[in-house]
Amino acid sequence: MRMRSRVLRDIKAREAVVSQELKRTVWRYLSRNTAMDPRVRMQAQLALSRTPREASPSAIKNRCIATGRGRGIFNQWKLCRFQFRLRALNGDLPGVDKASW
Amino acid sequence: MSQAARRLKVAEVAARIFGNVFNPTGARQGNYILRQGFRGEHMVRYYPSKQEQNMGRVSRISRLLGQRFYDPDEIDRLNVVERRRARGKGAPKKGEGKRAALAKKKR
Repeated sequence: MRMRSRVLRDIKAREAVVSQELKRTVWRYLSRNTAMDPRVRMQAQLALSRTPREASPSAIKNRCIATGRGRGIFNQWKLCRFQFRLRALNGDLPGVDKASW
Repeated sequence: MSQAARRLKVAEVAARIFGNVFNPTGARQGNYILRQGFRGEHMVRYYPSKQEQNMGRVSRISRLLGQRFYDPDEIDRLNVVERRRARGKGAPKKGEGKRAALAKKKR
């Protein structure tokens, strides 16, 4: 795999998401709850901004599981467009057919 | 009691009876965050493990037949090696290589 280091970085980020998920949920709830004490909300917001960016689930990018490419991914097959085409033409992807009309 | 106040009171009682949240002003309570659920475990499982990768390599037919491993790349490689050997281009045996001949000369 060519972009192995990118994939390893992505795996690390995903593990960070899992380890920080509970804390982040609590902080998110505290900071978005307007019934809370403003001081508590402020502290929760600060704590959120202090957590590393990679621990945020929205910062995770799906990559191709065959080549590690980060663009043009079919999420249903986790493959980039070219690997998808190769496998589809080879008949490895059940239910995928080349369109013809 | 005015009509509006009465309607508010009814809504409050209804919320208490049916266990709903009474929030007439629509203040943000952040409850949607608690409703979201955790998705980290799913995200971690994005990349297939070594075992799952090998599962993908075994074609479905050979899996049905009970053959454990079928690797087309490996078969191709073995074919190439066989053809090279037939042409006399294979790797030398132990002790017949270039370095082994040099060592023999020195002695």
